[in-house]
Amino acid sequence: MLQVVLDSAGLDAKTCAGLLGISPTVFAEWSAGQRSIPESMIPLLSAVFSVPLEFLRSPKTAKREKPEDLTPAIWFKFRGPELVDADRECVVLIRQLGHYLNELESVTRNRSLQWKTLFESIRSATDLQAAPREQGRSAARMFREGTALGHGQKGSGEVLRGLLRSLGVLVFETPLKESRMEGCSFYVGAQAASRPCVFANTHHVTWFRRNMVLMHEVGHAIFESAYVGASVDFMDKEENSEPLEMRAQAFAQECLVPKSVLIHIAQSNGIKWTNLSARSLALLVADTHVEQRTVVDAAVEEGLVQPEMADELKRIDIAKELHEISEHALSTEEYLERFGPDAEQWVGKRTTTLSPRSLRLPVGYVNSVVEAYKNCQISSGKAAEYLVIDRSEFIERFGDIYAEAEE
Amino acid sequence: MPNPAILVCDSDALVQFFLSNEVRPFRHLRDEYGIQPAITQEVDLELRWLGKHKDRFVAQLEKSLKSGVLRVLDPPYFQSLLGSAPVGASWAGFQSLGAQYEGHIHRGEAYTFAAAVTLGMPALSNDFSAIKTSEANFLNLPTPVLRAFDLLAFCHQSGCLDLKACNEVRSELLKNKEGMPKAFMNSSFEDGLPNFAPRLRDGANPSATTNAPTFSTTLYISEI
Repeated sequence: MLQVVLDSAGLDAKTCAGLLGISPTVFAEWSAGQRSIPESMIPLLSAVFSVPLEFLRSPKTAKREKPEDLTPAIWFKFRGPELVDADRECVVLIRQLGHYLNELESVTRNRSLQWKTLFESIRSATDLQAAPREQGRSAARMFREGTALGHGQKGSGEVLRGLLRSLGVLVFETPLKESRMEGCSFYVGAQAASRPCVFANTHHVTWFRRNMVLMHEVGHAIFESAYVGASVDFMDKEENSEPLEMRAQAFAQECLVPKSVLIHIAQSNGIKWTNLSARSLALLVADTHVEQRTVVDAAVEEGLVQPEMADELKRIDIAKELHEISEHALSTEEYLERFGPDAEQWVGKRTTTLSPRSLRLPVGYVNSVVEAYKNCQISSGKAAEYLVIDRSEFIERFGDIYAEAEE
Repeated sequence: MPNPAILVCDSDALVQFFLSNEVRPFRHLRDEYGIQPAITQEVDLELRWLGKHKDRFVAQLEKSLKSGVLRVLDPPYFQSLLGSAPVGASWAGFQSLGAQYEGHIHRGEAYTFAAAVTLGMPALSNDFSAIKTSEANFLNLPTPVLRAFDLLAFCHQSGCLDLKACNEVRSELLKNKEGMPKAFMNSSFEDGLPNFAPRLRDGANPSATTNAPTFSTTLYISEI
């Protein structure tokens, strides 16, 4: 059963074993049905590979099915030729962390399912016969009204991740050097406890761009990811005329830079739309928290800038000005230099070391794990497992709350 | 009180014996005291791929299993122990308890503690964090939970290991940056022993205490 899924998804059994921290020999025997899988491992494997529990418990049931009837929808999406091993391995690890997050939240009794009601109400109120961009804009307005985004007229990049997390969405940003994937969204966790996950590749992608990528993926998660397995977006696809992409893009733009935000930021900085300089564009980018081309596109759409000016405005080099104005334009080294040792608190503490592919875990996720440990809800061994690091490394990074008590 | 039939061992304690290539304590328990060292399927799995050590202990594990020094607590073996287990004990109950513990502590410890609690047997684990977390979350603990050094001290007391062998284990653990009780951190085995309160002793219990046993209650066992 497992072997069928691995083959159809283009996943290597040995790599998967390494990612899940299981002996490759044992994993190969499980995959081939030569050894039964302990009951304790079944929920994790089921959540990661999207395979029904009963198929893992009794592989004979699965043998009666055709291979194409066994392959979960998500793996159809991730076996495409545009995707590399790094993408699939990253998805395996993220799905594992999604399972861990569900476990952690059930122990801390801190599960948020707000995304469910919000996504459902947006879906049911959206006219799916309307033009894709209009669907996206209308969904974005509902999203802003239904969350804290609608309460302010400032850029929302700094609160975005926390907001999505509070809705129960898993937000993942990590560098994937070999990958062309810019972002993707899919659902993680066992069927009964699934949640949306949005991913952004941080390799050579600015924070401003990533805000857009994440919200674009939220757009996909609302409308399609649950039904088609996953949505995947690539770096080099500038303009995509696919209706689903147009809808997701319009959703992201309207969520992050609606007209009211553009006007407020321009007014508070004394910016004249008819006379945009590198400095004023940098101010707009710094305050809206989205990249230059998104600011220009939004301004054109809202009638604040003439369409014929768009290309010229997009070509203005604002790097120097933005670097001076916004801390989000700084590299990690520059940031540490400017803000001193206090900023180092999280450096190197979010990286997984036990998996063959190293990932940078979300701050919120790491915080939740460490807090649960400090509240004595989970042991150091459990916390280390959740952070995919060794137990001694966990103690080194976050301290031992029981050091004094131990005999 | 008769000797317990098994000692449910966790990977962190077993690793300390594997690192120092010293499995005589387990054989001693089995042959002289009739206590079979056992591991859950989860610990078996863990020892076959253990974090930074990866598959380092597979050969030693296989050898121990083959020689019967260790035995996997699989369903048939578990069922065979139910005769002396508390009323209501079952494989399904053990699995369900293990899953409950696993929400709070690592899988190996979770199923080790769950098996020991279900069967009413002692456990072997060095994970103090798992013990304190279980306590904080009102999860029952095995009585007692022995540490690797309890077994080492016991083997010295009962003449299975001489001082040299015990000091070699200690040195090997220090070399591998393994944790150990404070009494032995900066003292040789013989110097640390007077400051260490062992949880496993040979002989009859000298005090007929009525206190409810805890994870740190001393277990007295007798040669068969």
